Amino acid sequence: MKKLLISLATVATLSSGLFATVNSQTGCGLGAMIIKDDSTAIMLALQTTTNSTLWNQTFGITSGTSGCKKTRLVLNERAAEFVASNMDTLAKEIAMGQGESIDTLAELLNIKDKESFASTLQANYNKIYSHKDVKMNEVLDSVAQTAL
Amino acid sequence: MFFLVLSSLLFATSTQKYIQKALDLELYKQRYWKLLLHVNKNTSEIKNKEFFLSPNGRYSPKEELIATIKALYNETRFDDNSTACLFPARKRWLSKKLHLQNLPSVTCKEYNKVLHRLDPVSATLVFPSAHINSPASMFGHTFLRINSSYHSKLLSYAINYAADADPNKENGIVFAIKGLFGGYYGQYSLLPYYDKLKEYRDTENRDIWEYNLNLSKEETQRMIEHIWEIKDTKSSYLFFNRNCSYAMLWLLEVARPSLYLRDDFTYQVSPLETIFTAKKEHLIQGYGYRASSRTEIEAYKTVLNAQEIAFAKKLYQNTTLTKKLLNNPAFNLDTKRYILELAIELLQYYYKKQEIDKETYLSNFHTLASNRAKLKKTKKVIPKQPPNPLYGHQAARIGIGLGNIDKTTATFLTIRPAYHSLEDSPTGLLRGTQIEFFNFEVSLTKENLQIEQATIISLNSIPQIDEIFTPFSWRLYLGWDKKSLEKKARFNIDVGFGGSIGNKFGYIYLFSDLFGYDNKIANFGISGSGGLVLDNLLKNNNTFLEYTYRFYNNSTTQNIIKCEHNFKIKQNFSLVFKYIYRDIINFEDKKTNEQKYSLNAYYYF
Repeated sequence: MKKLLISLATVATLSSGLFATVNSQTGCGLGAMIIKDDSTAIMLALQTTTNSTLWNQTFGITSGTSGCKKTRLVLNERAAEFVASNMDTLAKEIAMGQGESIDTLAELLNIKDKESFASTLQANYNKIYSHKDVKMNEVLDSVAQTAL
Repeated sequence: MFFLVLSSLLFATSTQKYIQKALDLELYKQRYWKLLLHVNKNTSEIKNKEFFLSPNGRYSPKEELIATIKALYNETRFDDNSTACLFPARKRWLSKKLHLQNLPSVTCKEYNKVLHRLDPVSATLVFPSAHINSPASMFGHTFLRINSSYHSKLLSYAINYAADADPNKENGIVFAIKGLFGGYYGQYSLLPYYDKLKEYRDTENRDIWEYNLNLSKEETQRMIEHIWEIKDTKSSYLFFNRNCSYAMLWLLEVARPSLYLRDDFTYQVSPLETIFTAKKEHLIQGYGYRASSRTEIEAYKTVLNAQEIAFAKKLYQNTTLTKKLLNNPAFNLDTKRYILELAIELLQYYYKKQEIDKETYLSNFHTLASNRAKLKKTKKVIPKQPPNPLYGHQAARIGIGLGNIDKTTATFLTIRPAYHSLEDSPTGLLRGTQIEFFNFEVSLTKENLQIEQATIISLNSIPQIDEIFTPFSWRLYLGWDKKSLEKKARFNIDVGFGGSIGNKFGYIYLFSDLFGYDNKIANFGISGSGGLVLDNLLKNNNTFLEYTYRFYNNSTTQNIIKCEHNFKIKQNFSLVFKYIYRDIINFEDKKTNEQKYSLNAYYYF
């Protein structure tokens, strides 16, 4: 009975899908984040979980580094994929000297002492992120040069 | 030639033997076979022809069983397109039940690649909770995370089920209607967990709750085998009962067939309620919390004062202020670090909302981040973990109460299918958020039975303005209420906007509303309201006070006072005291008032 009532109730839900257009900027540099363009307040307010696919979600292990220039020093596909997809979070954490993404990168590169790894990267921030348009391959190669 | 004929004859006879055995055992009637075929009643919910090996497979689990055994022994392809590689779960189960021997040898390169990458060890049910200014998102979403042997959960993969719709291409109303009535197909996707976090935690700013399931490694792998079978299939996607959570429940039943999770739900599957079901079935063994980007930003209020926050808000837009920050003797080292961190967080937050263009973002980020790096590490600002949604009240509510309407004794009965109001205990739910469907209340006196309210929908979103963010509040009401100048309940539409401030004990708000009634006395007007909600002053106690002043189109004014106190005895049981005062016009056209108070028992289920 409860479920019938809840479902009757939910029938009345005003749900809008066009509350937000999502632009997924793919790219190998910083600023490649999922951006949501919130439209009117009413639409935003009435939205339920869209659950709609944001971008071309295939079911397979596709490389997240397609289109990115390859690293020279690091031959680690998963590390490259991880860095390419997490450029902004990683940069922020390295600037702060700690974070889950740094620890994850350390695990991918088989580095045991995660704390020193993070400190070393922080101390060498300007070598790793030498300019604002730096790309994944430069970042990962610099990480290898400074910390491995 | 003779040998070929002989061996194919031999194959044929052994295939026939297994088919006969399967029919004798009535394997096609067994629950697991029906789970694998996604059979509901007697028809599969899957629509793709490619999922079925027999022409009538969608409607006949028996024919599909026979066809599967035949196909396993008569492979024409020996790569990922072989039957054995396309249907690993079916193959495993049939092999076990029938002791299948001498199956043709195949190489499942793609499948093994995925299996190797996933490295399934255990599974977690992930629940992104509500986001600010969207009460409807309280219903949430669920997806599965497949945990691997990596320590970092970021490297896990997420299995998601969603409508195959592009909101960019569809009109919003069309999208909503098609989603409600089956105009879309649902499909599965596989993504790295970090990508799902970017979507829900960072872009949609939703707190994430992770519920670790006690599925064994074997059960998790069986689930993956089946996901591989259905990965390209399409079923109808329906917002209510064939949504993300329904799909996840089905996968869990495949992992552990002794579970009957979907039986708890008839017409509607609400994501948060499925988590309650998982708990009831003893599937949950621990949980984790990930704060949203916005929650992490708010946490900086614990280490920075108002001026420091104001500085950070200027800094992320104008990084030339960095020098001023670093040279300021009033700021100690930690303060400088935190101001830079907050500025970086705000920069990313507003970039994602497209309030900053990319070039400005890249340039400002570079300045702020390199300056922060020079200052070395300090203690991380960690948001306080809020109460787990599992400790919140459940979705439906019934109540019985005893009280008084203008000195006449009355009994009150109320029922509400979903979901939560400002007067309910806010544990586990987003503060200041209300979403009510069909809140129905009647009063019984010696003389008569009256409708007190028949709400169709009531939405409130009251986020607090603070030093960092200035969100607005809004509310919407549609239904019959007893707040007009008439004694009886009348149909009302009300829309309001306002603002709120608060602290850890509670919050106050001001609203300005436009309302309209379908009644005889006065039809529409504007109102001003002030409210106080003490939801965290005393544990298990929630106090709600609101004063409203209304100005009607016929120049009549009205005062309405509302008080409620909810004393939580158990997670799903409260004692509630209610008092309402309102000015009304009586049958003699005289201005008088009505007072109503009651003591109620509310049960949530």
